[in-house]
Amino acid sequence: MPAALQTHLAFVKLGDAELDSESESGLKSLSQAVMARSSAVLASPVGVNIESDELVFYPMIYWPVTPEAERLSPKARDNVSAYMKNGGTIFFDLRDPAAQISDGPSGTALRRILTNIDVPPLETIPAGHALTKSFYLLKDFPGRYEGAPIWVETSDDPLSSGFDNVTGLIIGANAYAAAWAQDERGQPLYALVPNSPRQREMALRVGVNMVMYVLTGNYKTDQVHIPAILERLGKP
Amino acid sequence: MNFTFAPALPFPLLIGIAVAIAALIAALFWFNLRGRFLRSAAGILLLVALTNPVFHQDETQKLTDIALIVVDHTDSQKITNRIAQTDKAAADLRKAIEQQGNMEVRTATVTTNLDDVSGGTKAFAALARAVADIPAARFAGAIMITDGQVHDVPNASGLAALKGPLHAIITGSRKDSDRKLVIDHAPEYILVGEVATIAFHIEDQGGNGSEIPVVVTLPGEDPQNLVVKPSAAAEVRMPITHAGQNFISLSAQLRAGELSAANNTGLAIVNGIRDRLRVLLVSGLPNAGERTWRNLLKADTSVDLVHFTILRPAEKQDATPLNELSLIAFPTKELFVDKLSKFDLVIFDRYQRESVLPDLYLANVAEYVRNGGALLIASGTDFSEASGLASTPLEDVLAAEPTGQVTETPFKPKLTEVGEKHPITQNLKGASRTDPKWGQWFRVIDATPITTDGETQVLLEGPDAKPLLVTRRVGKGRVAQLLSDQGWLWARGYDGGGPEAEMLKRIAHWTMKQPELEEERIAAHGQGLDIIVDRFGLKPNYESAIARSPSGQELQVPLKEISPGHFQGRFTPDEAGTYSLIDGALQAVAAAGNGDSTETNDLLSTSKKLQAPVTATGGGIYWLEDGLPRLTTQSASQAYAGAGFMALRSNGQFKILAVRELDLFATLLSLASLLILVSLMWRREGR
Repeated sequence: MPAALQTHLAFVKLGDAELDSESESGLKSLSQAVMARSSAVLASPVGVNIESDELVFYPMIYWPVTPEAERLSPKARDNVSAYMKNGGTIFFDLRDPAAQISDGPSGTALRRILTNIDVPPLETIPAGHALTKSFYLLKDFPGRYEGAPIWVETSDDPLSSGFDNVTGLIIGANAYAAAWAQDERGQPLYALVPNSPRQREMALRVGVNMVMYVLTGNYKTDQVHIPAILERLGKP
Repeated sequence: MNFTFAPALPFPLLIGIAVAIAALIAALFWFNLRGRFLRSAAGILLLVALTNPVFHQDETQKLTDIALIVVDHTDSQKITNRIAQTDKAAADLRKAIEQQGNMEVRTATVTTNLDDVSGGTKAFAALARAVADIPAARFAGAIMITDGQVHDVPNASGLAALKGPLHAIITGSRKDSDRKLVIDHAPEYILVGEVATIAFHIEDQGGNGSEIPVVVTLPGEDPQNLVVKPSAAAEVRMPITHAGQNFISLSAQLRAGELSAANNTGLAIVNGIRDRLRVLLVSGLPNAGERTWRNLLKADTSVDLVHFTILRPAEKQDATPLNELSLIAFPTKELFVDKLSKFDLVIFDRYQRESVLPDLYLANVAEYVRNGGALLIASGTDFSEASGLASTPLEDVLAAEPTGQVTETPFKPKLTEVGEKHPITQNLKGASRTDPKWGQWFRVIDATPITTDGETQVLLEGPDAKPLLVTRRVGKGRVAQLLSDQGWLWARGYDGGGPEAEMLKRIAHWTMKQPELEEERIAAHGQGLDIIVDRFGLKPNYESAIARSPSGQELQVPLKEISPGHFQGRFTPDEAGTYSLIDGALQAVAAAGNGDSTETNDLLSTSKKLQAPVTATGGGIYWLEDGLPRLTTQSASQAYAGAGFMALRSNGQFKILAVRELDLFATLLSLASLLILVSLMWRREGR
């Protein structure tokens, strides 16, 4: 039975046991946090083969980018393009707070991955973006590291307009799965840098917001319109 | 009879000979010669013969004059016994004209032309066509037999070419009376939820001035009764609750003895439009399908979406400070108590009982439905659970109740027998009863339709014929339930995808009573000279529909099934104007050809419209009820009419059949007389 029956977070399996395990335990811990804090129900995360697996079931695919990442095969490229075109969101994590999307080893690797994929214009996340308020109110987006911004599609992108303006690409660099990952006893698996106060909680909130965002779209940004709509509804 | 001269010799030579003969005759008498008389006579005769006189005779025939009878057979003449009156008058006139002798009758008939866009009685066009075939010199005049409702009366100069009188015989009676309802103004478009004001008045020709009862009906609304004074401006206000065409019919009470019932009813077609669709979407939890709702509703800029998602149930509240949470308190009381009735559509998406919406609020939603609201419920496993919607006050309005079981297996949704005919699912891309061409789903929430009385219908089914899409009419409102949370797989294109957006849109609009999505409906449109009737419905068969003509005649139009749930018929209307197609309470209208309301608008006979053209030609107007006027003929004149008589012009034309010419001196007689004279002369000299 395919993964359509329940909502799963997914990560791209890279074949690197350590990295895949980091992704899986990160998403598992995130799913648990989402379940504990919100009404969303998530089943255990699924590792996907980007070339051969059906991706359509997953609202978000976490994709750690390593400097060694190679170009995608045409088949994988088609799979990724179709997923984004049908409203899916891919979260690329460059896992290096110094990384640039236009430069550096991780940035170059990301560009290799996205070769020949239709990538809409990107911007660093603007103030008021739905990601900053889909559940928690967020100003920063820490992961295992701090400081790197998040890039999203520009909101006036016609490609995403049919999908409630939900971005098909989120690009971060703060090694998020590592920040989320906990063992069965709830102990963190990876040390945080610089381990500022509440950094782990804040990293988890970034994850919760992302999950809420891919499930509810711009629901939260809509709410500013509700008073005006109620006003239009008139007196009872 | 006349002479001409055709001399055989040139004229100067003839003069010379004449002078010579005159000189000879003068000499004969001067010298008093013998035989001078005979010789002179012979000389003169010779001269006359040389000038060759020719005698002509014309053979002629008297020509008949041609009178034209123009007979009005248009729709306004079809009431009471006018046609019979007209035809009898035409026959009598023909006889009377023929009795004048030397008079020929031609007849032109005016009928209502269904192709003519402008409509009305085109009697003068018919007159002009017929006159064109008659030689002007023989035209004796034209007589129109009509109710006087002629719509192409030319100005006086237009009739100048007519070389004879135009008379009019008016059918019907000066005492005829007719009540007519005229719609002065009706809005063409109006926002749904507003009130259409229709201005009208009643012309009660021949009435006694008393007030007239009027009934105003709009299918689906309570009829309104009002009383109006004749000729006074009146108004009726009708609430428009449906988008699409609303047929508002205003009928003035029939009066005994009036000419026609057809014009007692006026029909106003008001298009209901929605300004903004107000949709309240309640998502029970963030889920994979939630965004497909948003994609659908946000893509339409005319939708005001109030979306309410339960992000955090009460039991999961923690110590996080509120200023770090983006959880705005939703104005639930305002939405579910105060302003619920303002929404066009309420959607519950995977909702189960939560403390944030107390039972009172859900009871309000059930009440909202009974009062005419639209409710759409899309369920996941939540519906089968103890806290599902079936455990709330919404239970009363549900279309299906859960069995508690959930079936998880790959399947393709299939149309049911009803679904194949239902406008929601009919013709959905890929839909089929046996072999649907759309993507798979994997879960159906087992449920049973709540009633079996036909108010609840199953349109789509899952594995083992489990209901998947169920609709129900409750009170004045409607409920649709989708018993699966897998629709988003179609939107995401899984397994080829499917028409999720189109299906949800149709479900939503069906619950909002969009007329085009009604299960039982009738539609009609003109095609060439025919009217096509389309009857859609869920029953196995529809035999016929009734077509009511503008004059109130009813005819059965047989229907034939052309696809499941779609029956069609066609007929050729024989009256111009707006036909109503009726099947029970269902009604549609279509215009026959020109939609000739001109013709049925004014039915009273009148002499007024024809007065000017008739007078311009010197003719007269006569009411047939006074009897046919005596017919006479007279030669060309300024006036051809008088009390009790009408005259046709007598032209006295004749035709020359042949011309005979007699050359007098070429005949044996003239030769013989010349010979006799000469031989007498000879004899005289020989004595």
